[in-house]
Amino acid sequence: MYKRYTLFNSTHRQFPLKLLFLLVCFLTGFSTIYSQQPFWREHPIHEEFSKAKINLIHEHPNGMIWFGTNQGLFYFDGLKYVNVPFRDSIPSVQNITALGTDPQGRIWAGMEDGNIYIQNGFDPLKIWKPEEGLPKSMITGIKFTSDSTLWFSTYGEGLYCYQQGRMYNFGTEDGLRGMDLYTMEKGQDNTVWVGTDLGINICSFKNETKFIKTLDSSKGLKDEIVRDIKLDHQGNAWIASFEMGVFFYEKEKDTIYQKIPNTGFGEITKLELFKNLELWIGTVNKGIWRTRIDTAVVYPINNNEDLIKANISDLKKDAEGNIWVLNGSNITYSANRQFEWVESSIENVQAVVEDQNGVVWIGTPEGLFFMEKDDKGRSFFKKYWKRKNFNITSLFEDSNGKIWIGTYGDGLYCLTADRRKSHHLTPKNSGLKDGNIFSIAEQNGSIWLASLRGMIEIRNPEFIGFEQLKQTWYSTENGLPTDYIYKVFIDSRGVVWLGTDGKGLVRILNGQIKTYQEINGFNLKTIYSITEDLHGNIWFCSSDNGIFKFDGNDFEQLALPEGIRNLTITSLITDVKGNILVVHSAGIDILDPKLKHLTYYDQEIGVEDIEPNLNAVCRGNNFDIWIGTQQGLINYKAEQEDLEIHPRTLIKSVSVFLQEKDVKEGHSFEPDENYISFDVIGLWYTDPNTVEYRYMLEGYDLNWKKSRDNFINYPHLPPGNYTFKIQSTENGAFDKEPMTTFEFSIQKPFWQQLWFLIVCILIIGGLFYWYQHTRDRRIHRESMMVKEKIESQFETLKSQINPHFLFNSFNTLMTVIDENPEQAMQYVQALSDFYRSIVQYREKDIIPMEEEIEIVKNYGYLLEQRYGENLYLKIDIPKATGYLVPLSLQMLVENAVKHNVISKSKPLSIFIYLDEDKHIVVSNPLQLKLTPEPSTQYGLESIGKRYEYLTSKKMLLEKSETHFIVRLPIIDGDEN
Amino acid sequence: MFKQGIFFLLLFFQISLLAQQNNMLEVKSGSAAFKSDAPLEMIEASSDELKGLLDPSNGNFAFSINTKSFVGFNNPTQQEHFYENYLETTDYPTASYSGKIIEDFDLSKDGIFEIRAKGKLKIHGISKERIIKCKLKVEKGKVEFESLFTVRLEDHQITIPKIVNQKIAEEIIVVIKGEMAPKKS
Repeated sequence: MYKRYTLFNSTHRQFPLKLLFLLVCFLTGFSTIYSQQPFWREHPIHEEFSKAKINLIHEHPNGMIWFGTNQGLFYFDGLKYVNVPFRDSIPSVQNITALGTDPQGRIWAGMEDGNIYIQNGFDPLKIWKPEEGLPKSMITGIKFTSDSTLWFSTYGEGLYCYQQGRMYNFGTEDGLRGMDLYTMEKGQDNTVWVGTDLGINICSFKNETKFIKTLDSSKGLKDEIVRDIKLDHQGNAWIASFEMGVFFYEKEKDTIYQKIPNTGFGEITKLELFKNLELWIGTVNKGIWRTRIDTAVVYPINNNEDLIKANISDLKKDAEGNIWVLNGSNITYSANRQFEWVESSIENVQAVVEDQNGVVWIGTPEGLFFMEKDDKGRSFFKKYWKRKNFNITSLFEDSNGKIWIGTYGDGLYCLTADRRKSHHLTPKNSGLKDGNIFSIAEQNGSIWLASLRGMIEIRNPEFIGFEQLKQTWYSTENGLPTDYIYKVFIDSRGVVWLGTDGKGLVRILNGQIKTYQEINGFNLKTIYSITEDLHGNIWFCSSDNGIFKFDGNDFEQLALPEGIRNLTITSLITDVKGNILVVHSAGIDILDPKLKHLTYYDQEIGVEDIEPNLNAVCRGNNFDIWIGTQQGLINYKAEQEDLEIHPRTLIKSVSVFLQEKDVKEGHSFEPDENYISFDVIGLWYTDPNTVEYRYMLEGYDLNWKKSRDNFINYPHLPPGNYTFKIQSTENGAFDKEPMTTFEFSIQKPFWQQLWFLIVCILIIGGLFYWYQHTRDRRIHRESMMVKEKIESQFETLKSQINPHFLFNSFNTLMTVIDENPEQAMQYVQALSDFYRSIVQYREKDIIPMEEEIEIVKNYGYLLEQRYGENLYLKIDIPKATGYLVPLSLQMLVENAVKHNVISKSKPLSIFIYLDEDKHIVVSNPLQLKLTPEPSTQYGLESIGKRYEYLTSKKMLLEKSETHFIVRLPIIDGDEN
Repeated sequence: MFKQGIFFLLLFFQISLLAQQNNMLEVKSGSAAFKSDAPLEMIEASSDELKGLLDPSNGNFAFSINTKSFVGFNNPTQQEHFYENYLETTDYPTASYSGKIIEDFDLSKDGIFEIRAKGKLKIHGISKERIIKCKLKVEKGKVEFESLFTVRLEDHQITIPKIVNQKIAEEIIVVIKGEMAPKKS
């Protein structure tokens, strides 16, 4: 290309001078030398750990990025670093040299001293204690293969694998090429690749057998010291050698050849591979170098002082397309590799095109430039024509390789495919309808030009010289709504689409013009840009209404609610993967046409507040898209692997009363643990500051709540079942974002639980039953008592008016009247007192003991009169207190008299006295009559029963050979 | 039986090969004890007949024990089962472990440290590669060693009748202890 240029174009006679200038520029690193550089962001670790050296990067499958440092483990959520403490004592060696994640999501950290720690969730690190013990050499890699095997490589003890609870070692005696392993990569079919000083070993372990394959100089690996390995999707490997650059292992041919010779980058530490796109090379003290896979030309990253001469300790891409770089300091560096500024002094890029040879042409108000590469593969821009005031507004390469150059007011230029000749077409020299060309497209051999005087179709673009053009002119005169056309786009079916000034979208199909101006109630107004997705849908941007999709029948609008953040969109262009780039002054957004999800890129890629030029975009031959702005040229390379387009939402911890608690999903909290908090994070490393949250506690909240705070509190939750739902977004549109949930419940307090209610009901029922029962018993007892009393009264009366007693009494009286009338009076007095007492007390339940004794004395007097000295009644009650059942003593005395022989030879003594246990005792010697008196036995029984009803104390009966004793309990005064 | 003989010869050869070198360390007194802690029954036994050699210059070692020398069973039946049904001591009269110590070590200095050995553990005629951790205490040229490791019966094809598998743990804990001193040649 360079040589061809020197041969060509006689108009540039001063060329050697220009070459000299370029040479000077190149040597001084000045301006026009172009190199594509990513925009670096720096993330220093916080003050407390300012002396930490970050060794390595590890991306957890859940999206969190972890860093191993010489001061232990950290994770970084995009905004802050968090140090993970060691659970037990702090080890003397905290230098982490390897990190891995197991299938359960636990982080494994290998240390410089050979120890291995495990970390679960966000808990502290605890040491791993296998039966076999841990290595004493530095761990250089930790991997898990899908046959549930843990692998760890060491620098000094070879390779270990841990399978089914047993650890095995691969050493030189097993065929390993060395015990010092620099790196380990996971290969296909449960293999791991390790780099040694004598080549690569591919190891696997199956059925307790070690399989080791060697790749060394015999396969073509000329430098056998292997510092790093990166495997691609086909199983080929990129091999970083110590001093001979990068080698490539081709799986199919099972052979290795040098791919990237060491062109000055020195010793390699790490490699990172972007599928089919780029290989990045971290070096010792020479910073980062990179190469496009198709060219294998290496050039350094030179736009960050900290990285230029750095010793790169690790280099890794994340799921969002960011590349992370470590230079052994306390700062991590990241950049989004998709977007890069093309560093050159050229400003105000109004048009850009990449030709079939991969040469990028740019048009500015200053003229036409093209990208040239020197023999070292470096590129720089050259001005094509020396002319001034050569204001280029559009560039296009047709299918024959001609470059069409549209200008503002100066007509159209056409550069032949061999770039040897150019033609200049103006309204004057060729009858071109207009000299202001804003957009150029090709359809079936016709070139379409968007001008200020309508559409021009050149039907003979293969013209030679200045012969009259064959052109068709579409204007307001033959059906166009306006003559001002900004964009012409020809879709995959050959349909011509026009973006007009203020009059909407126009379709030209087979010469028929159709205008779309009023759709879905919108006035489309000005259409700046049009593109087509991979499914044939047309996408265009309208000046005030955002983006529309047209599937041939219906229009669908994407505006602010759908995540469009700027309504003044200057360009739309579809990348090789089918995503649509939306270019506007606030940045560049990537629209996924299927999900209608927009990913924003702006300050983090250094394209905030740009002034993009209208439709100054083009797609290159490979993955490139070029975007022209007033500030210069931006390059976008679509990642070949699918990128994460959503923030990943993690619930980091759950707290109860602001204390972190280790709970699993589905946890049931105690009733008093009702202050629940969630520490959440939406990981979006591309631009962490934009992350917003939307959350809802199902079962409590009725609506979604939005917040930027990632600590969410729920105080005073009532018992119940809950599901905490959270989404995070980076672009303000939550609807398409994935949801993270956490289910839990708060138990009801015991007094609200069923078992407790049942117990309560049982107890209340029991109490009620008991109350009812005792009342019934009392009522029954009372009625029985009444019955007994009546019966007893009846008995008593019966006995007292028993003819025998009366007969005896009257007999006695008769005798006494004769002998001693005074005594008779007394007797009658006693008899009447006795009967009065019976009448007086029979109704009562109890009587004072005093009175009962009085009755007995009366009765005793009556008996003594009858029996004389043969009966002896001794009452020995010093102090009569308390109560008795009425007539009980009398009845006992009567019984004694009734059943025993009373004669001169056998006198009867009856004793009434108190014992120690508060009983009143009636005792008489037993001298039963030979023929027993007929007895109902009612008396004793009645007394006993009445006692039972009245008190818990019982009447006691003692019947021995000699004596008959009855003990009546004395009822306390307050007992009734 | 023939295989066993060969193995025995090999082991003997290995030991004697090691023994020819100078500065060899020999087990002066050593014991091996094992414990099977099963749900229904605990079996424990030990033997004092541990033999072994270690070459401190390169870490090569060989240890062996007579499987018939285990004593201390709960009862004679247990011992009989152990000998005849499980270990089949008539067919496999020795158990051995030979290999190389993984890390560099220095037995000329007094101290306590831990080493790991990588070697073949042969029990019941089945040889398995194992890494076994061992604690060493060096004092005036004498080396005390102690190691605890587990043996899975399945690994060594020691089959347990279903009816008694509640009485024998699937994993047996083995403790090796002893003292080594320079071999007098």
